[in-house]
Amino acid sequence: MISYRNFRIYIQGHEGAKYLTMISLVVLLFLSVIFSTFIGSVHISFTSVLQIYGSQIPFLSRFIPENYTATQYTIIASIREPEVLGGLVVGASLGIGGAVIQSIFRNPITEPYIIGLSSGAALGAVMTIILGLTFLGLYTQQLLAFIFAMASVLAVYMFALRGGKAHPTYMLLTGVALSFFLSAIVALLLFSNINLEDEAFFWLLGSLENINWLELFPVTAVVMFCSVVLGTQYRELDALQMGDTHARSVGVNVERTKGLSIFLVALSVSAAVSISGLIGFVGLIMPHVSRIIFGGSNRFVLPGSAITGAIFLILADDIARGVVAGVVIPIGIITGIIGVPFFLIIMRKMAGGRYGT
Amino acid sequence: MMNRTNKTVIAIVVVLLLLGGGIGYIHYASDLKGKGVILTVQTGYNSTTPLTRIVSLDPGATATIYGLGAYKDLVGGNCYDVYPPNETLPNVTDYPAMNVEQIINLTPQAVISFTNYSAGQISELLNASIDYIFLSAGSGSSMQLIEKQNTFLGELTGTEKNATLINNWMNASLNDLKTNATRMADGIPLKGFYYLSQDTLWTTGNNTFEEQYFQYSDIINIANNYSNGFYQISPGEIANGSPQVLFVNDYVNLTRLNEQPFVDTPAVKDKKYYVTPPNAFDEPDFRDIYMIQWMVDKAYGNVTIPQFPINLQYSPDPLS
Repeated sequence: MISYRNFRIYIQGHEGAKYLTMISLVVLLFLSVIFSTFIGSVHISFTSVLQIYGSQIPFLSRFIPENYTATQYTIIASIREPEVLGGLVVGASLGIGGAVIQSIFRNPITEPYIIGLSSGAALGAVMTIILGLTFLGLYTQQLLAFIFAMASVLAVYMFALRGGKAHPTYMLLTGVALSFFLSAIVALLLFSNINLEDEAFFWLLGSLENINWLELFPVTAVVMFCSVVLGTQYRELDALQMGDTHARSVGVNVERTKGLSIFLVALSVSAAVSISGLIGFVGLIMPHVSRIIFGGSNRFVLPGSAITGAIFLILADDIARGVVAGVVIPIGIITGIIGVPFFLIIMRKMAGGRYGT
Repeated sequence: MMNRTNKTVIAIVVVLLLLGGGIGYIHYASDLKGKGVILTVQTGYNSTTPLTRIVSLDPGATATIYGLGAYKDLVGGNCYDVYPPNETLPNVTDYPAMNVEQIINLTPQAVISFTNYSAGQISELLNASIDYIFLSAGSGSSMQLIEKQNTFLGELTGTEKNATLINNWMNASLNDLKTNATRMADGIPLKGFYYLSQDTLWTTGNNTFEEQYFQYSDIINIANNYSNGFYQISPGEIANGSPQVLFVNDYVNLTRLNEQPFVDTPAVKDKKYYVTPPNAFDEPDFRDIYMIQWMVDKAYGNVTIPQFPINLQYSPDPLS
């Protein structure tokens, strides 16, 4: 019987096997999406869900019988679909963001949040909740979370910039320091109006439950655009993984690549967390899962991280919704509790206790 | 180092995103038929057709709708409802949020809420042609606001006459309570404190409906010197306030009164501390009149109020 480790070595050694594995992951992602839309507090039959799917496909809809109610259609099309697809978009964004940040900083324990993004988003969201801000309409919280996240990353980058170069270690330390500073302000805000602590607390732990189409459309566009551009940068990111000197020697414009990549990750992840809240673990671990499967090249690691991140977040959301009736557990708790043992097992089985590409 | 292939890929993605986004938005917009609206006491209800399918996520609203005689119009309730007792409505709260799926499945015309749920969930309701009715609770609530909410809920359910009856009863009761409390205090009102939570010394300051309890009972709330809304008072402020009467929430362990900062207060020394009735002091609604009566009774002596004007199967008096 083939061992996990041999399986991994086989995949990493054969280009065709990598493509086949990627296609398998895409199929798994597709199945996760379909499976998740069947889960919910209102029972809707398997046939009805399939018919509702069919009715949304242009041209095909006229051939699909409509043995479902308008309410069932609303529940599937307006509640479950945006939630599940939201999981896909947010998970993909965090996964690919983590892979890029780890490549740039050449550090396996970094993730998108390390550059001040999460504390900035938290400040924007908590400020909206505590101060009752509504000046940007119903979506003030999401917009301020996005704006503050981007502003924090920009502040970190500008502060770390010296002579046109942003040294990775300096930038990491600046990100950590700014995160502590912003977290202190968040704590002060929470302390000033302790009645709203619960509401802010649940945002900080993340949830896909509240995502709707109106939020999802622009975020999907931003995440897709950023992901594709980052995907085209895989050669530069591979070179950066080997060090700045090596990257320059093979013709990479190091500072421009770093700046562009960090900007795109910040844009993509800020947009994602603005609608989901802070979901930990995905951006840190999924790139490693992807590297364990595909090896070190970002050509496969970037899409692999996006797909595994999406699958993981969608399934975590199913657990968050289904584990206790009448309670939606914040997804950040699930990603931590389920994800860490999952990752440890994968690492032990597939990497044979060793980590290396 | 971006080559021609990369630029082409990005250009194709941008075009596809624009096309996909446009088609998606048109499809989404075409689905929005008869979008719901957000209603508040300020906006009022501008329709002459009463609502007959309502979900209440607000225990105060559930109680008021029952008091108005419109309970039959409720199709969904929440896990915090305490009045009327023996509620059989389906619970559609999904801690810490509302369960939008279950709500939509009940096909209500409106959802009443006292707390501001996320924009995403509110949008989902509005997009399903369900109105979102937001009532105020907690900080900022007053007896006047409660009366406005009675009128508003009366308009929504077509029970305006009953709302007027309840408001008149509230005004007459408040007048009697204030007059009698002031008379019995004889110009020397007691200093009081509401001990809301056991370990963190939470209490109620200015601008809350509980503070109004103190005002109509002619008791000086020692906490209103320090802060607005619900907050954590310091032990020093309690000691400095030297309360003569304590109202202790029913889930606070009374042994805490044997410790500082309570043990040396006149209230504890004179054994003038009282445990609030279960589920009282929780919601701003018309039943608060009975809580004010209870406070006056405990602080100064018995007072009577007019009889509730509407015959109900379950008495609105939490002490009955």
